[in-house]
Amino acid sequence: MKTLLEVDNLTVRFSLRAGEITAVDQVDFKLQEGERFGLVGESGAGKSVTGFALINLISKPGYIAGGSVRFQGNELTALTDEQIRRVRGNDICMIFQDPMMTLNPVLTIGTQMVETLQAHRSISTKEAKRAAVETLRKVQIPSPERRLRQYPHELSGGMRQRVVIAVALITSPSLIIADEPTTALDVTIQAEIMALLLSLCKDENMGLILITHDLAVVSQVTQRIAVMYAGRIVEVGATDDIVKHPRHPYTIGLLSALPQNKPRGQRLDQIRGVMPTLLDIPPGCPFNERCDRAQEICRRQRPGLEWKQHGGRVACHFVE
Amino acid sequence: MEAPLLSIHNLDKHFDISGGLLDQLRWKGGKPVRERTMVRAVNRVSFEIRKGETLSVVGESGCGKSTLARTIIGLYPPNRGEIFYREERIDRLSPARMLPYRTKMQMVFQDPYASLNPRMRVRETLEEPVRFHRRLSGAEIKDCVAQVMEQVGVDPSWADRYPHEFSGGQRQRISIARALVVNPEFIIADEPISALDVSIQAQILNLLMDAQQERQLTYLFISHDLSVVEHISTRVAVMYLGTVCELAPVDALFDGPLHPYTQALLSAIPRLGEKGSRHIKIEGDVPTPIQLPTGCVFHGRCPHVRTVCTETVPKLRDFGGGHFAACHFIEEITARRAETSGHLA
Amino acid sequence: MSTLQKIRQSDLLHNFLRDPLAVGSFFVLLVLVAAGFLSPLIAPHDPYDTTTIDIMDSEMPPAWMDGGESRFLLGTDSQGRDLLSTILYGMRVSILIGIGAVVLQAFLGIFIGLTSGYVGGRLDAFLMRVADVQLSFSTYMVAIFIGAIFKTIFGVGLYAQVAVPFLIMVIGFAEWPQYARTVRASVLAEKKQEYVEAARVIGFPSSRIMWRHILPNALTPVLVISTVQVANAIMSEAALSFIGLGMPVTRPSLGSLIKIGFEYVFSGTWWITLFPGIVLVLLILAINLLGDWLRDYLNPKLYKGA
Repeated sequence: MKTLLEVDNLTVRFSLRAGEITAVDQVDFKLQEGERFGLVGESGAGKSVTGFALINLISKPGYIAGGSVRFQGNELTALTDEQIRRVRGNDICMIFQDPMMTLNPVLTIGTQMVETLQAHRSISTKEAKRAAVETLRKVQIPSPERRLRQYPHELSGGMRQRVVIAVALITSPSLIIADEPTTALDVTIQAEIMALLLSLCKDENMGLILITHDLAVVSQVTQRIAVMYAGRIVEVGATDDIVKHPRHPYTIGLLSALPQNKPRGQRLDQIRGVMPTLLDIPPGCPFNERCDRAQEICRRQRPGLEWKQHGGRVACHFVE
Repeated sequence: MEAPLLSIHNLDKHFDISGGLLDQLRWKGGKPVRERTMVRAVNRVSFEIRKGETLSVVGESGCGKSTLARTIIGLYPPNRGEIFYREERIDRLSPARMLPYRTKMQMVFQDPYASLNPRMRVRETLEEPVRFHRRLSGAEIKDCVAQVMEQVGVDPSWADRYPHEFSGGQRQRISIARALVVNPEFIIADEPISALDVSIQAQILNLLMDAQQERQLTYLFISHDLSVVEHISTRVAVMYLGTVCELAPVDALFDGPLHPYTQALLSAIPRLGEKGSRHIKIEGDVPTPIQLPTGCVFHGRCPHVRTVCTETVPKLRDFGGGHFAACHFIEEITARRAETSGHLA
Repeated sequence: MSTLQKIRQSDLLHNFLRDPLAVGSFFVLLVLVAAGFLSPLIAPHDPYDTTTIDIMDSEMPPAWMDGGESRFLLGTDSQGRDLLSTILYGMRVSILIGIGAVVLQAFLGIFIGLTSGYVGGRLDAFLMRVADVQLSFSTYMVAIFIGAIFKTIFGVGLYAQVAVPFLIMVIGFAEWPQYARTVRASVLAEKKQEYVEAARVIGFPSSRIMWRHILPNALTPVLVISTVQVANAIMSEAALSFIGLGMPVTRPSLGSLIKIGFEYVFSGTWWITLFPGIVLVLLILAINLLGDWLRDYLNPKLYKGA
């Protein structure tokens, strides 16, 4: 299997008036071709910023402070704006929580799909239209020819997200970054969209980075996950393994806080306190103030993300 | 059996969205007609809430669950139907006569950023209701507020801060404190944890469960998150397009849903580590509550639909053990399910 | 944390200090307002005291020109009043009328806008139609109309005495709808917030919810339009004075000074019009620039990049 994406020590900083903050701190992971990878974490953990940083979409006052992102062997952080634009929306596509971030409300769906395609391929409008219809069919939108003439506001939320996926798919990308794609949708629609994404990735051998706070969703769709906390990855490994045998205290806490993991009506296990804001991350392990196993060393020394005996990587002093 | 704490009968809540008189006028058959556009958010909803239980109302966005909550607490006047609190009718009371019920029924809101007045210190937010409802001295009010803050896990020494100085979870704790501070018996919680992070959700759910035990509270819990509802409820009502389609004790509902909509809804819950989809797909989108379908509101999307479903509104029927469902063909669907699962076995 | 520290660390101050235009206009405004209100102390002459005015001194050019005297730095007007002193006193009158009119507008506008927005329904429709009707009369029309009636009934002498409160009333009444609409719009937005619902669930009476809970949150846009409205009111006053319906010549405002000078411009005595004109422009510009900055600061959606 070939490596699709290789992220090495990626660091993103923001210069704010209150100080310099590190939103993404030395994140590294690898993605094989056609692999489905989850970035899990609570709000403020840096997962969305990581997603944006992958395709160089960090805008001021943020900047990529270090590390590298290699996509199919090419270094993305070194590309010019013009070059990265050719990659973005072509080889790598992004799907956001709010479909209206991608869709233009004053253009018909057909126009938007044709424009996207023509921006990256030199083909006639007629051919582009045919491709658009085909893609809409692929995302299971009924009567696609009619949809081409409709505006985004004429569609329901679930339909709009399908259109966004279709817009992303039309250039046959090899990687899709989906940032909370179903958070705004109802459960029944969420289940449909997730099933659709899963089958599309399998059929087209597309890589997927699913950014979400929802452990259950990510566990159903991805093969490997990385758990983020306060801008750092604290645990990476095979999805099934992490869900069944989490190693990092934060992952353990997060999983046992889920109502699904407790008999009905029983008190839930909770992690005490809240995630530190990026301005006051404690020295040492960022989780030490909320961790029951914290010792002196956790307050002094930051644990590296290291390979452990079970075959996954964990950033904790006390995991063997 | 003990009388219910709260009961509602055939509650309707419709909103007129047709605008001013000029917007309402239409030209029909050669003469002007006044036509109104109504959103039928809640239709013919009846249920009882027993003392000490947690009744959850679940449903997808737009099903009317929040409107139902706000109608019960008196934020919206109902268009039809009755609300009884301890057998006293409360839906037509003047503000003055409603006042005693204001301390008995309280509400916790969804958005921890919008539900606290940004220009008031936490102390003011919490002291004002006590001062308004109870004749207490300044010191007693302070004590009372400090005690409640302690209970919800917010350091009382932070009372002089403004809401923006707190995190989302802490704000929600303060919101809960504001509801508890008048000593209510009954709390309506409208999506109280859906705006919070996973680890904070657990903290708030625990807080709600602890408060229920300590103060013998009764909850009406509104949520779209089925796994939370499964965890916290005594009984669950499933709403679709403004009507209750199934109402049952939590175990009965999650272990053996009867209504086709409930079955589809429950099958869509993402389960940890479960591969492959058990999801029962339902066709189409939810219709708008402006033009309600005739007959059963679910008939346009139901896989078991027959002619009678498009004509007659199904009533909530009891299928034993307090398990109610509103569908004409429950028996048939259950039999067919048993048969197919029998085949598989 | 002490209040002083809070102010020092606040975004407001930081943002303000980073904007040279805002700081500049603030200082110009500060100097002008201080000079205006301290005019009895710092002005070299008292233009209201007829005993010190000598008609022989009239139309003297500024001190640095031929025929100018060091007694009169900016020259004198047609009655022999020291122009610098008259401008200072006139500015005080202008600012007083501007602020007074805005206070009245704000009072009416907040009361009507709050009631209209919170109560809604027919009362809202009625009040807003009244506002529309009021807006369709211009300030000048109202002033001309009422002023004419007033002068006919009570005579010009009495008018000169009550000119300041009269102008405050006229400009205040003519422009309250701006406020009422702004307040109503922000009340409508706040009314939907959950903290208002929470207050209703606690059972607070409507009046308390309106004044104590909603109003403090709806005041931000009021602050912004207030600055612009002060500038507008000063302009309205100047315009009314210029057409002879504002401050009498004996107690001139900036507008009436410009008018006095305007009659002499073509005979070469340009300074009587020019200097008050410059002061008026400076005053209005400073207020408007400050208002713009305040609006940008309070409405982050309008930020032009970081």
